[in-house]
Amino acid sequence: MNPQTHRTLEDLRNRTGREYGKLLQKLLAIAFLDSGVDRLVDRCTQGIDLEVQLAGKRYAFEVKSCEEDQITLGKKDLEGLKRQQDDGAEAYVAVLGGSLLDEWLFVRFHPGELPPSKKLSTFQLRAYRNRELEDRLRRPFEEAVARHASTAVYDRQAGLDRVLAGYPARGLA
Amino acid sequence: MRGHDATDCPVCGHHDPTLAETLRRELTTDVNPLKERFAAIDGRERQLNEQRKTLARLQSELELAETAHASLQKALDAQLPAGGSETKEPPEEIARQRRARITGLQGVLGRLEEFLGPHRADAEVLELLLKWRAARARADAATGGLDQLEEWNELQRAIDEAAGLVCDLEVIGAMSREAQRERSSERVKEVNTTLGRHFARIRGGPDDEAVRVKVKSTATKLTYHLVDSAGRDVMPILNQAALNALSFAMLFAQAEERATRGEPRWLVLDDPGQNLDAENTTGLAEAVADIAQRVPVLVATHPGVLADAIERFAAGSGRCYRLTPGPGDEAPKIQEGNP
Repeated sequence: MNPQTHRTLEDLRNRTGREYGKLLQKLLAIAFLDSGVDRLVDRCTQGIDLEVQLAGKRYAFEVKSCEEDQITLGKKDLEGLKRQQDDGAEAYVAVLGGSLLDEWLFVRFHPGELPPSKKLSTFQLRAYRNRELEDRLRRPFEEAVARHASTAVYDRQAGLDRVLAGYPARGLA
Repeated sequence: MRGHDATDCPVCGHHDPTLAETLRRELTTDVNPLKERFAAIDGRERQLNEQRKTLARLQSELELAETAHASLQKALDAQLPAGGSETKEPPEEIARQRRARITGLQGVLGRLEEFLGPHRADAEVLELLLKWRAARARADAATGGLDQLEEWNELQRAIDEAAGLVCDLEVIGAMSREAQRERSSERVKEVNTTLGRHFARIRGGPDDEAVRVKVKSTATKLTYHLVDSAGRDVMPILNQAALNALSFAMLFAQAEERATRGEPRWLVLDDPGQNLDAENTTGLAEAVADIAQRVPVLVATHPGVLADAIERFAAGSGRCYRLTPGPGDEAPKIQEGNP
């Protein structure tokens, strides 16, 4: 990750605390929209975090951030991913670690292989990553962070929602 | 790297052909120290910014002091007579006043110098800080372009493959543990069947699940408990006869299981009838006859109920022999146990 992006995200995490995960999700959504997806739906409450339509394929993302290189997936997260998979989407867990060299990991969901409520190391998750999709998002995400970090700090989710509302490809949840 | 010559030190400008490799190795091997250094330097930068403000204020004060000094000097010069001009003051008095003023001004300047001394060191640090900021900008450019480096991408692919290998190993480990659990469970079932059968036979009861083995497993150990059909620990509630019967049942169950692997070659029982009542003795004889179908059994016992019962139950097996005392001083003789 670009060091400046890393520093900005660290600052955002320190300033926003528990809300950081949701802000990160919205920054990722903006990056997807900037990368030219056909349609995107982001959710704040129930269901899968992001649904993306790209080149005729449907993708679903459960977004997770972590500081200690470990994430935990709840039963509801896994059920949501499985539902999306059953509905024909490619389901992923999108994970962003907290260190300088961490990048987004788009971890392909395979039912039964990720146990619920158990700590999963980001190293272990690399076995399931989709690098092509990650590469596509790298620069747009860095740009989205550079452009909208101050909005995220001062206006929080509402501010980023206003940014998202400006994209025609953004669908309603 | 991009945007600069990777072989020049961003801090001192020194040319070092191995610099790019060193930087890359440091960035890829351990990020935490770098992160800590960044944090420390950021902190120092903030501190130095504060000090820079103080220094600017002090420089301003110094300028004011120097202006005051110049004004004083000018005033002093104005009071002193010009060369060759007439003066009412005696020359000694004028010289004394001049020395006094100079001494006073030197004191002021000394105090100012003393005050500004430490801040000059800060100014030097500030200069270094500016160099560091330039170096950080270059390092940022290099780190930000890591994904452009083929070596970096190869390293990432290697880590991904290692992660895949670890996952495969974990899956294989889990399958192995599951198979082991199943095998262990089957094994306990087998032992319980055999143990129950022998215990019921010795005790003469119909309930072949009166005693069974219960396995408790934790992450680090397996423990075995003998429990009754209600799941209670039987050791504190069985009487001595039942405990003896249980000991034989366990021994026979173990021998029966080992017999499937060709072990043991012999099962030797030394006076097994002691501490058993008549009913249990008959049951034991029956169990001995049963186990003798699978493993050769050598029983040392006195002539009496047990010996007779064993002979009775083993009759017709063709494998029952009895050691009988020879006449007089002759050695004992082996006699087929089917009288």
